[in-house]
Amino acid sequence: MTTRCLGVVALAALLALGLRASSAGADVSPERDRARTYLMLRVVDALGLSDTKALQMRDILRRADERRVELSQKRDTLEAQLRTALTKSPPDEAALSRLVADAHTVQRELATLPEHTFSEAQKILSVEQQAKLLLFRRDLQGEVRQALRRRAAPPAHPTKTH
Amino acid sequence: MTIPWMRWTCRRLRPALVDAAMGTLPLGERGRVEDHIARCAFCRNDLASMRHVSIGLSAPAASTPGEDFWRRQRQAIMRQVRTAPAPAKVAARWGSLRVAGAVATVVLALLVTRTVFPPSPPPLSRSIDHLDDEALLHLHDLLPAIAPASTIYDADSDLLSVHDLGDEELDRLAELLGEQS
Repeated sequence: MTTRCLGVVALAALLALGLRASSAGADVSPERDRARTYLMLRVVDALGLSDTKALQMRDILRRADERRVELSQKRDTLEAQLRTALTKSPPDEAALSRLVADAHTVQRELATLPEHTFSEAQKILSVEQQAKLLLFRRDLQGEVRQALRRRAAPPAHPTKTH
Repeated sequence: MTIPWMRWTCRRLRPALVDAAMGTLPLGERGRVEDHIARCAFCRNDLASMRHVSIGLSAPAASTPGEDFWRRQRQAIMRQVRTAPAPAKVAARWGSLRVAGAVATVVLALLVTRTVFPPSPPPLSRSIDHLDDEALLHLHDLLPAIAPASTIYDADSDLLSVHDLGDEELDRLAELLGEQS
């Protein structure tokens, strides 16, 4: 048990160093870095990954995150352009049509990104680990939403006495 | 005033002066020593001093302490022995001192090590509550890269959507619900 704990801690430190080194050139904020490291820690724990698999999974998740950031920025830019185009009267239909196609493509890519990530993970994970990943990502989403809700909730007011 | 050649004689006669002071000078030597003493004031004074000492040495010693003195002496010694710390305790004290010294050395080494090599941040806890707000928001933003929206619990999603509404939107929703009911 102790050996396993030490192993997990050592692996987390290794992953943190690796993530830090790999994200050094990508201009990742420290908060994003912590979020990635935490995600990797949980993934390694939930799936019981070996060191080699953990490093491969780290690369898959990093690429997915970078792709999502890139697509999100594209989407925001295209949506701004769409709003601007709609303010014209009459609108430039050709330009609008191109923007619609581009925005739709980006939104579709964003929507299919998780499945693309899972397909990448399937190449390195055993069936058992794939099953655990499917369950884990749903569980973690629930944990994150509940944690956000707890922190967003206003502090309880003391009971008024009359 | 003593002339120089007599100084040599003084040194040569020194053992005989000691014997004269103790009263053990052979008869054959007495004449020569007495002649010298008559002429040499130094040796005469020395002989007088030595005779004084010899008288003190030959005087009877102080009265021998009685049995009572020795008994009290033994009792005092035994009291000291009883009140003295046991050897084992002394050893234990030295042992604890050694342990304390070792601990102090380790603490000092740790302090020096931590000063020279600042510790890396502790590993992240698995509990999501240990994530700071910023990291939690980033994790929330990161998750759609691995989990599709369809995996979100339906009830959870609906509840969060309501929470996401602003005041005006909530008012309009309440009006809408009122019209339907």
